[in-house]
Amino acid sequence: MISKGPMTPPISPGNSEDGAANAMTLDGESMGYPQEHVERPSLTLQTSIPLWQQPQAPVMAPQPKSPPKEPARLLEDEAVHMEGRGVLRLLDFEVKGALGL
Amino acid sequence: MVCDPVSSPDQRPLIGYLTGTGTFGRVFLVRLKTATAGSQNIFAMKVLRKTEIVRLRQVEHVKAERYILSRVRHPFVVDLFATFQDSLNIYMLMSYVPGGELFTHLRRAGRFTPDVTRFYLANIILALKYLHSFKIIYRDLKPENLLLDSRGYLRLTDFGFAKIVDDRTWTLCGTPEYLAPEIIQSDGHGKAADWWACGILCYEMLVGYPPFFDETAYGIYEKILRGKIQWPRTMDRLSKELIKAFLHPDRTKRLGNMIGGPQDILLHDWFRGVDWEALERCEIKVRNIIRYLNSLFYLHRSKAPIIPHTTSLDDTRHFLHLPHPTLEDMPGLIMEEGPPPLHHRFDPIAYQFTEF
Repeated sequence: MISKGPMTPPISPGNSEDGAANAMTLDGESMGYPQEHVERPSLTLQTSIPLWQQPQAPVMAPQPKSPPKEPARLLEDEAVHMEGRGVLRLLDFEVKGALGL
Repeated sequence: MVCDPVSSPDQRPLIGYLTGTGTFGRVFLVRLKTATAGSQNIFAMKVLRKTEIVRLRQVEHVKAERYILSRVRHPFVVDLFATFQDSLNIYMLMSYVPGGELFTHLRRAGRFTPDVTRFYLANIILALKYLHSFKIIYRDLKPENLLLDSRGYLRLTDFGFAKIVDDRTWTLCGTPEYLAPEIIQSDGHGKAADWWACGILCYEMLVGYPPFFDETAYGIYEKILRGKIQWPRTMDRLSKELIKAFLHPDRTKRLGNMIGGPQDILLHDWFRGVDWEALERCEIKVRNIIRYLNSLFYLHRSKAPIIPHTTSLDDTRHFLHLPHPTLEDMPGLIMEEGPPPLHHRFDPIAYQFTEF
């Protein structure tokens, strides 16, 4: 349940200080977008064929002006965060409820 | 579970699409029976059926999810504490995040104010910035994958499509409404696709629905590639500017992916005033605006916009209530299973996930 109080903002940019910008009103309805809980499944594709129609000829993608290569940041070993093998067993748990998919 | 094939206008299926882990896995609330007084004893347990993982060729995604989640720790990313397997399933023991999906709260509210949106988007930007610093791309940002913790901060969950990528990858995955043009065009995608998804998320929070939607996935892709966005009349200039910057079709000019990297986002005017370091410590300063006798008063307090109401650690009111599983579906919870016979270790049905 959402708490009863007003939704409180973090420190805001100047344009919303008087709260006026917060009063978002839309042009009519949501253009037919279903507002109920409609499942939006995550998808994965099993081939490398493009979703869109393949272009007739391969287009040379521009070289991204991406951020400069940052120094490699190494992931920690899993032992830092995880319980070691054998410390916990499945038998140590009981199911209290089903939360969803 | 195979989802409806994506159909082109002439109804020919383009190629077989598969849904993500949601269709072959379930999440349960579990209690650690051996917990000592005062220690954490309530968790979420994600259970994935091995036969389905293999059948849907999701083995690498599941392994990547475990590899990544076991090595990251961030206040806005769900925690993975342990993994298990039995003859039928693999299990991921994770933090239970009781506030439910942001999706539920957003649909209930209709839309969020710019200030509320700013708070949630800032959470996500910090999480993505952290993940990207390890070359991890997330690839499935959407309100359904954002959970509210007990203090009202977000936790990114479901790392089924996360991947460590040096530059670009070509595996096509995600949720249609949130796919960047370069994913649709199979042009190779990287971190920039996550920043595109931030723009979609920002629009969806402010407006109540995503900028590109259609009855079919194909229709959504057409609209994404066309790039025409309907702007509500009342959307303020700065919000529009931010969303446009995230939704730049040219990833080299996309906010977050330019020379300044994610710092460009943190410095964007739309986020002016956000104390990023305090936010990452979950110590935000927020303010209520109170109008009294035609004057404005600012009341400062440290709370997130929505504090989920829960009465106990195992309160599940913010989640769908589904039928309990039969224990036969999770044999490892009933009895200790010995190691599988040698010939089973090479049996694709009794697939052994050596990492679990």
